[in-house]
Amino acid sequence: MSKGLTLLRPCDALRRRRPCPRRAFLGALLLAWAAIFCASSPAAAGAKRAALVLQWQPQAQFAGFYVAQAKGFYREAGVDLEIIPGGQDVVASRLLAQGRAQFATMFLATGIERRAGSKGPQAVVHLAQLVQRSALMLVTRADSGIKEPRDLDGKTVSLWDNEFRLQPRALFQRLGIHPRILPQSSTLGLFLRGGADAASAMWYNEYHTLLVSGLDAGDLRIFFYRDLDLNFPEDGIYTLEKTLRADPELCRAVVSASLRGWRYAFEHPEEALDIVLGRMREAHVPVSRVHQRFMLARMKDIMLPAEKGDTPLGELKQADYDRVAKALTGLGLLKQAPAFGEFSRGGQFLAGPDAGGVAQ
Amino acid sequence: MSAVKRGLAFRLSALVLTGAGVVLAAIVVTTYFLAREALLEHAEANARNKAQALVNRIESVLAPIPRVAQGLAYDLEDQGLSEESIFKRQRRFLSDNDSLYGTAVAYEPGGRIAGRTYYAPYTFRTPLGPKATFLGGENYRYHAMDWYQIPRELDRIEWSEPYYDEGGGNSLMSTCSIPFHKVENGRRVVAGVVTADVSLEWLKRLVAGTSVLETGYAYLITKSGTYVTHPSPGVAFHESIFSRAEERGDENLRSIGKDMIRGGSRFVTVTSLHTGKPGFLVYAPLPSTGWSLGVFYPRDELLASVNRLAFITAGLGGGGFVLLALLIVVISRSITRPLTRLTAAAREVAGGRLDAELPTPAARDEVRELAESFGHMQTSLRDYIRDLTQATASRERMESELRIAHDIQMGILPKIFPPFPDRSEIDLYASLTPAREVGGDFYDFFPCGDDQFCFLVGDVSGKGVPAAFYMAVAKTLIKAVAESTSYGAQRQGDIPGAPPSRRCTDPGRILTRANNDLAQDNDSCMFVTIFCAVLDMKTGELRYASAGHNPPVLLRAGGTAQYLPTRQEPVAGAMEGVTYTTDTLTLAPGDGMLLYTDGVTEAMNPAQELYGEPRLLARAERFGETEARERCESIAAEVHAFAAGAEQSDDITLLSLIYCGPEDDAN
Repeated sequence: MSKGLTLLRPCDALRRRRPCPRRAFLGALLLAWAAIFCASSPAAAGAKRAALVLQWQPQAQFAGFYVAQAKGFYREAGVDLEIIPGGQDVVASRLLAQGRAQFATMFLATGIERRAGSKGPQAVVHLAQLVQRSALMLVTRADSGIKEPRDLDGKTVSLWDNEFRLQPRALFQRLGIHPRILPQSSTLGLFLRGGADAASAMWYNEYHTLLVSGLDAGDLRIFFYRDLDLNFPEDGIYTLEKTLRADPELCRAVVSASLRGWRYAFEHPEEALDIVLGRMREAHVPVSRVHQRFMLARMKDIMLPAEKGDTPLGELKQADYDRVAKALTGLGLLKQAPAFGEFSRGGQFLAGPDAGGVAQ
Repeated sequence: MSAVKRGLAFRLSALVLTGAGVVLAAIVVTTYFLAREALLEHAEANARNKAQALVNRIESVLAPIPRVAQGLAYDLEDQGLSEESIFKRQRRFLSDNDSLYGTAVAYEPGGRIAGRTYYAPYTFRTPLGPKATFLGGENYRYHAMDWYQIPRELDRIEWSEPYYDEGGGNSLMSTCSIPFHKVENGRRVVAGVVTADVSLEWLKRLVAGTSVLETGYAYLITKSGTYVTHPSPGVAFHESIFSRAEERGDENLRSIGKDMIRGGSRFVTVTSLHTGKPGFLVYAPLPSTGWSLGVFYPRDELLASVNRLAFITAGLGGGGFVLLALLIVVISRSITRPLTRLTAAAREVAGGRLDAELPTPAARDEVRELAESFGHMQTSLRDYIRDLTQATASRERMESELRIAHDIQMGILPKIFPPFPDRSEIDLYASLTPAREVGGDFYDFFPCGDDQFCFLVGDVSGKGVPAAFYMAVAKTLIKAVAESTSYGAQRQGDIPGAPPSRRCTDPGRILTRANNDLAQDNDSCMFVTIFCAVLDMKTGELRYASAGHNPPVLLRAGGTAQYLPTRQEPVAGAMEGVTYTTDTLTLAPGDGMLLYTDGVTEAMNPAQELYGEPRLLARAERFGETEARERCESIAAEVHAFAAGAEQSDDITLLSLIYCGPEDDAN
């Protein structure tokens, strides 16, 4: 997930001061049409209807979901799944709470925070962990004096808000340094123009945007948080306690079809790109195949186990959970982290479709 | 004939056309390359000028924007304008600049009114006229937006990346932001940012509508390389020059892009990713925004005029070439046609039709001279042939007469061998091979008195008809003299006590008398050599005399041969009064005589060697027991073989006699 901009973005990223009535109208129309279509579709007659809200607009970061939908994996699993793309105006946890969507993707840190902030049937629960290795990085110019993170002290660093600030804050706290923090817009314009010494970037997105803005890899020095003992797993699939209780089979179906979609996307990257690019065009966001290809390849890097001992796709290791929970409490964002068992409820789905019931 | 005609015409045509073709091709190729060089030299300047003109047009609109905004910023710094005057100035700003869509004065958090985070008066164009509002709020945190943050942080004028403003009619926009300042604790700090939203629809249309030849095009990229306009669909705002370069693996394009966003301006050779055509890219920066304008010129279209020129040159050259070819064919025909006709006529003449009509070419050229020469030749040939015909006729007549003369001459020589079949004492054979139809050699033999047998060989000086006449005279005369002396002898024999009659037939006296007769009135000064002998067939006594003749060969029965020594007495007929001496020898049975003329000994071979007396003698010694005829023939054959085809220069006369002994003995 990224608030960063691929390239230019017609409405959200570069929109000036006025709201976008046309887009909202189009979106409503689309939803209405989709609803009518789904309701009248004979194929979907026996399927359970559900909606999945993503963190951001269509891009290869979510290739697996779009592939699973396009290839009919959800339908095969008996789910008529609607995918709601995210955006600046779309807050996944809010749609989940409102019942507009039954499933959502979130960063692990966000998920823990939401779990801590909710309770009872409305409590957010974790079903599957997709991104095991953090793609968040700090990027600086190679010719700047910043040779290691400690050198950032006193420098200007632009950072995104919310979950994207957790790792930097934890890092700065650990190192005891005090950079000058600037809010980071949806572009890297400030960094590119030289207005910031360092900026946040997602490996699969902004880093490549820098490369296709005329900077060579050699012009940049990057610091992965995952290499700084701050590996916060990112995208995961979440639902509400009540949904899990009411229909564990639905949860299992959505998780397994999503994972199947991801595996298929990694095995057939060009086909997956065709699907993703199609969704991007529908959503009128800038489409660059090169950029999406890079993104899909990086998603594979951060999702699939690279070597023995790495966490398999879908699983959440308690050590990872504990690291993030500890950072959240350490930064004072949480008083007490939820218990791992209460939070991570999807473990049994990963063993196979015949695995046991829902943990109580 | 047709081959000759085609050959000449073909060679002429081929030679001229090859030369002309090479020259034409050289002209076309040289023209093409020179023109191309010249055009390419100017292409760069033209392309740069065109790009610069486009840049200037764009700048003429963009450049005033920051200046006007700067004016507002200065006013804000110096005068601390009231809200009302800010809006007033903004309205004026909009009305003065048609390309301006909206303008804002955005303050730092709490910068205008303490405790108020967002304060940004904003005036923008609507169809109903300018509308004033305020920007900022929880949903629009402008302090973190590029249009505010970047110029604020960099404290300088910044143009934002172009964007589509859907609220503003979905038109392409860019915002020019200028920070304004205030003094705080003695330090000049940024107090806010003045912005001017500029509609770029005109810019898009201007660049996209720039026609560059047929398939050339112009495009615009931002400071980060993103295409603002591009002829390919799905490129503008989706791709950057670097993502395109990555997609195609085109390192060259990437380095061009880097130079473009650095503000470079160059003329480079590239292959268009859009059309796939090779060509030239000229790029230049838009100074106020830092964007870069690229103009692509397809090489083939740039060279189209050169190619057209080359085509025209080639067409003209080709046309001229064809015309030349036709002309050459006509000319070569006009040259070869009279030649062909002349050849046909000459062939007819050669075939014997000397009166064949020769063509007369109209042009006074070499061919006409040739025809006239042929005419002269024909006339000369005709005259010559006429003369030759006459000459041949007269020669044939003479030859016929000579043939008759030959027959007559041969007729006067005795040709019956053996001459006296009833007499067995002698075996005789003679032959005469004239060098020409008639000759001066002769031989004769006849009985003269009892048991007396006269035989002789003569050789008249000179050759041909005169010699033949002289020979006839000499032979007749000798025979007449011999017979008269023989009769005389018989008459003397009638006188009692007279010596035996056979002594009277004396060769010396025959020659003496014949000489006197021949020498008389010999105006032609001709002469004759004669060997005359009389054989007494009873006794074998041989009396003989020689008038300057070659010594005959005496062949003894044992096989030895020798030249009979003769007195060196003069030839007959040269002068009167010469007395010839008679010598005597006796032939034994089996002995023989071989008489010959100098045609034998002086026969030459091709190496100019003479047959000579030694060869003759050697041949004679090998005769053995052969007959007279065989002897003559063998020598004639040997002489013929010796000559080996060399022309016979003199008559060859041979007379062989073998004395077989008295008849009684034989009996």
